[in-house]
Amino acid sequence: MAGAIMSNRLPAAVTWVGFVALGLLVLPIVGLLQRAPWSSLPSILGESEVLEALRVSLIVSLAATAACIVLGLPLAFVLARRRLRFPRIVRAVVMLPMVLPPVVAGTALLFALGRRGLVGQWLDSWFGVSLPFTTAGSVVAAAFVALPFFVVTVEAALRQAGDDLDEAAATLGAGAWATLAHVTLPTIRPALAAGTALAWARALGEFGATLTFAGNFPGRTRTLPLETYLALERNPEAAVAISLVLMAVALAVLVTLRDRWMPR
Amino acid sequence: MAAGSTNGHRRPPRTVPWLAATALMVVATLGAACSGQSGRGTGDGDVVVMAASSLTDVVEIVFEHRESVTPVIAASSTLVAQLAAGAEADVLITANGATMDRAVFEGSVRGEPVLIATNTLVLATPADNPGGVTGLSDLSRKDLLVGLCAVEVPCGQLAGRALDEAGIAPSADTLEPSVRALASKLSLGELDAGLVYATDARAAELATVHAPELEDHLNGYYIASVSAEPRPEVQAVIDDFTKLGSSGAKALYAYGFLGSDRRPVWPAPS
Amino acid sequence: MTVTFDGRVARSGWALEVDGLEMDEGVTAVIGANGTGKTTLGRAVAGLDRLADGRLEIAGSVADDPAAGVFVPAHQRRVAMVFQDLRLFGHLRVIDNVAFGLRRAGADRAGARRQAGTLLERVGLDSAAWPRRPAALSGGQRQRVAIARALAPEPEVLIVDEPLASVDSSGRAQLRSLLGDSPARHVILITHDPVDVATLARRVVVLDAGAVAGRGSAAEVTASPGCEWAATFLGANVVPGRAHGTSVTTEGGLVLAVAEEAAGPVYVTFPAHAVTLHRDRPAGSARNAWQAVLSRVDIDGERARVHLGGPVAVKADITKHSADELDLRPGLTIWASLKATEVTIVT
Repeated sequence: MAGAIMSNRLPAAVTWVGFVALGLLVLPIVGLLQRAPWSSLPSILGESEVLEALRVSLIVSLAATAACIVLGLPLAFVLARRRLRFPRIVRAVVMLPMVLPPVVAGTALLFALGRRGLVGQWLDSWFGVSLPFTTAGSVVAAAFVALPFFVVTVEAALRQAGDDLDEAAATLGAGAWATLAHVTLPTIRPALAAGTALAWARALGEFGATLTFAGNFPGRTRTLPLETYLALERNPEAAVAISLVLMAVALAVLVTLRDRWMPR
Repeated sequence: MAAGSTNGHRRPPRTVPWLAATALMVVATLGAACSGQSGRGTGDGDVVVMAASSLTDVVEIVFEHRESVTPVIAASSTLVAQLAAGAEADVLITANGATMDRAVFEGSVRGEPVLIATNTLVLATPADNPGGVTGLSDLSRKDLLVGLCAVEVPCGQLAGRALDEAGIAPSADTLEPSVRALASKLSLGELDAGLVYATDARAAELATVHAPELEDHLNGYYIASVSAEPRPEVQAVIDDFTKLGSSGAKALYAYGFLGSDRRPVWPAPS
Repeated sequence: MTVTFDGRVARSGWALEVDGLEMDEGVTAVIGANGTGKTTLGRAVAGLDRLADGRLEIAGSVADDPAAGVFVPAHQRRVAMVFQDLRLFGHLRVIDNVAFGLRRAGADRAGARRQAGTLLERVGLDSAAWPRRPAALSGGQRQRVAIARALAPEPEVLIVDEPLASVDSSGRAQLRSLLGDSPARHVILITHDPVDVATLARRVVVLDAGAVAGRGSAAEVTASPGCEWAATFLGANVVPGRAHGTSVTTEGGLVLAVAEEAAGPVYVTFPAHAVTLHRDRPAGSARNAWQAVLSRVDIDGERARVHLGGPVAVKADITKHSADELDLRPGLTIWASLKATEVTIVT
């Protein structure tokens, strides 16, 4: 792993500090693995509550990812291709959910889309739609925090690709939609895949915003991270077991990404 | 080395030790941050008090003039887990008997736990009571958005017992893992009704609906010294809460806690 | 059928201004130093850049006229472009790159691929490369793909931006002949290669500092290049001939020694200033010396351009001072010499 070609040009201290940092990242995982109740793992993961939470988690994370693609793709195009009036501010706003504490994000969503929120009160009185405490609310919360991951990834790829190929397509008779479908999107496919995977992983692990905005009810809004949190109070072993599942899924996604789509 | 002696101007780069030192500092700081303030040694007259998060305001008032006291505020279960993991503290105050029980059982606490206050569940609604809640049985109304505490946390267990005894099957829409979160959702009007502690209802300025079924379901607050033989300054802090007419007792009362003469659901461990 | 360009394209910091440029059918070579607006001219015709004001007509219909609110977008113009950086679609196979324009015009996949194959054969790309991605090809192969791709949708106008730069010399002749009888009615050839101008261009447009400095047939522009850069560029002599080893026999029967080996039909190019003139047979290192009849002398400031007739038509740039010393006048027979190292062989 350390056998880098350039290592002779790298000060030794940098290498060492690098490994210290790696240790910092790996140590908690080792701690988790060492406390994992390997023998009772199947029975814990087979519990109906865990399966229920897994089902909710899959539905919520996949729906949120779909929302990220449908909404995020146009946004990435706007950021990359449109001349905006305040580009830095707009871009900062897009990235805000990445740094916002998720609980604050959830509260902000309540203020906006809650039953008495800015927009939510109209949704409620006109359509009878109330998002909090519903699966749809969990999807909204997860999509809110996951969206920047997709947008930032795709926007970077669009910027890097530029519009050279789009111009070439235009001179070959391709209109705007044909260019989008046959040239632009295929060209940034690796970034689309990476962005989708990142958004999905973030949505799967989402906790604070979901809890704050959508609450916690088994079979409806209780996702795996919520189950983990509650299990920590009830039965720490179960919490470790569920965390292992989440970690394994995330690791699998990231390793696949690195192998397939990320430039090496 | 050879290069250094043949060329006087070329010295080994100075940045290397700085880099290493900085990295060590970062790691050390992170380590300190992770272990929390409890890493401060007890002694030298300093007293570290671990207190349940529902006591945040009370603790602030009581220790306003005791500069030697360092409060550590977290959920009772978290505090007990930290003690078990070796965090150093002098006094533990939990928001229920079960967590204190565990601390005693694990040997983290050697002093005698003393009941200092009780707290009762109330049927709370947003200030304008938009659902027209009139009694505990309304919690089973499907048209209302009803919030309870999750069964994993004490207020949820307390609520479960009370509803069981009253024979009410609640139609809950959310099971919040924290009573504070439940209270704030009620105050935002996102929920129509819920069962929260009287103190939280008061802090969040919620309306309460009379529910006699809840009156017997009390939660106990316990204080105990970590050491079997507390230092005098530690004993003084405990006395702040246990003595009749103490500043702690007054502050607890002021924030809506009930007295220690009531009988909580979980008696103190013997 | 003409392309008429009369307008201004604004870029950041400068603008291309073209007044009443008319390009008839055939190959129009656009020459000029770097940054004079050659590519911008091509992009405006293709519809990739808009006119700030003025009017662009392609084959009788208005393509761009800001005052009238007309702008025909690039994909509706039937103007194809071979970009300097090629811009092949990396995610598509070579064959599908070429089929792209046909597919957009409504051809089915199989039909488009068949036609694309025909074009790739014409540009001389080995069929083993057809199913590969552009990244797996050499620079020269990629260039052929780019030309085939642009020709595929049968454009009215084909714009070729520095087309032959990275093609190996053997392929250059083939591609040049391909452009010469291109199916596109108009070819706008942006080039830095004097051979392209000499062999392909029916007319030449010289751009200098964002404006047209000269226009006309190659001979007209050579006589009046309009700017220093074009004068030097057009001063290059381009002589067809047949190579055998390190010598080339030109069409007029003159045998020139050259520094590189070649075989078969070639072009010999050398700058006008590489030719020296003498009253008597020169001695010394220049192995290439021949007698020629002086046909014309153009004096331009301190420079004199001397046109020599038979055995080959050659231009020579000398100083006005030397011209006076040699007492040059038309009809005079004079010795010309040329160093072998000044000669470039273009196949």
